[in-house]
Amino acid sequence: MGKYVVVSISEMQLSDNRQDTIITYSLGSCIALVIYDPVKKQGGMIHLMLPDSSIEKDKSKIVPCKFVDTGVPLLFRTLFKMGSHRNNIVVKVAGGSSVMDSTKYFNIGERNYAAIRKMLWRNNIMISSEDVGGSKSRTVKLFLESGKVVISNSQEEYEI
Amino acid sequence: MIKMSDIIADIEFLPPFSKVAQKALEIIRQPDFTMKELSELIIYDPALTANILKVANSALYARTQVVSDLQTAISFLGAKEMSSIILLSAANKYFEQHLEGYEVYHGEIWEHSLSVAVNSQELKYLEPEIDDSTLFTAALLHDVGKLILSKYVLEKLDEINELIRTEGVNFITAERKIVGFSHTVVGAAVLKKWNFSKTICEVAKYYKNPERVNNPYVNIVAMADFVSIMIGKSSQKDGLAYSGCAPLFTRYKISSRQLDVIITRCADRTKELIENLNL
Repeated sequence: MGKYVVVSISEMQLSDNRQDTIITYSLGSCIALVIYDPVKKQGGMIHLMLPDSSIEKDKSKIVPCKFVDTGVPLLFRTLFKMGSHRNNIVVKVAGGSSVMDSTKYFNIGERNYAAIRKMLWRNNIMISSEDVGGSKSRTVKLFLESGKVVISNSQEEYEI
Repeated sequence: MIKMSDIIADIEFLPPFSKVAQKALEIIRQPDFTMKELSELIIYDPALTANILKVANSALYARTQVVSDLQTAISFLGAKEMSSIILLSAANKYFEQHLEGYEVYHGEIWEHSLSVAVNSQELKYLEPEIDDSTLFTAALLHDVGKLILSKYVLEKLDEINELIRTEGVNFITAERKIVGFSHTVVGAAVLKKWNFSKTICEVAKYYKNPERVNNPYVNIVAMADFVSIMIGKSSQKDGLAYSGCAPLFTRYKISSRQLDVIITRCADRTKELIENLNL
């Protein structure tokens, strides 16, 4: 039986049950990274809050999925452990909004997106599609059967 | 556009804010109050009594023994914690309805309100002189106007979104232009009707425009609201369609890095509260 697998803030979820749908609700400036292996029909999603774990002084308290620098490698490693090969993985990114007319200085959404791009670029991983920025809230779904990633909010719903 | 008389009628229709809760908060504010006088008052509100016991026995306080009587629970929790629980318990019932004008999922505004209350406590150090309990109350009830305005906003949501899209105005301006009132002004009217202090009413009225008043409570709640939106704890329909309050962060000399620290702490505390309180 398929189910909704919910990803809370600062968490990741993976599944190899092709009937599952992985979902995260209401991304603001947070960013969701979705990775999917169409060969094995398995994948995962992480709901990241901030770019850099170095702000956490007590290293033992670091929640890895909260930060781009610690969360992204963990998500990939977990999918590798489930048997996926890096060449097969499709990567999509969504979120990273900003409050209207907020200054660059506080633009956490943009910083999150920049951190993800930099990390993927360094590791020669391409983003196949994305829906980032703006001032909207996003709910993101990954359908394991098809690999489709669907974004929705109160006004619209579309695939990326 | 709706008329002022419609809004007033709707406010009249809201159940009054718990008198027991308000009296209890007053008692706690007295420096020489006794646990006995507080428990003698609270005992008349069975829902509140149950909630206090539930919190005292929750995972937030890893106690080995079950607390089963009110007075023990009160003395164990202490005054500050008590005023938060009393307020949370009394406010909770107003947010039980699905506020479709603002929420995609039921409960978004209640979680946002809890988050702003938690965040305001985290930011309180910026204004050490202000009163904890007043700040908590103001933060928790800052969006109370949405209770009234939700149905009107729902009717006009397409027009509101269109105005935001075409003219780049924020949600409050769009509410005012299309519906006739903003949830901030209506919120202040509700709180005034419930006899909350001028400071608390002012927070509801100005938290989206803190530059219009010189009120430290407004400033803290404005920043707490901003942090809550950043961590995705806002109602989704109006969500991020607001102007930032960057000048305040500059004024309080909060660097971008400090803001990251504040955000991560606030997100952790909010999660903890929502998981544990579940009132």
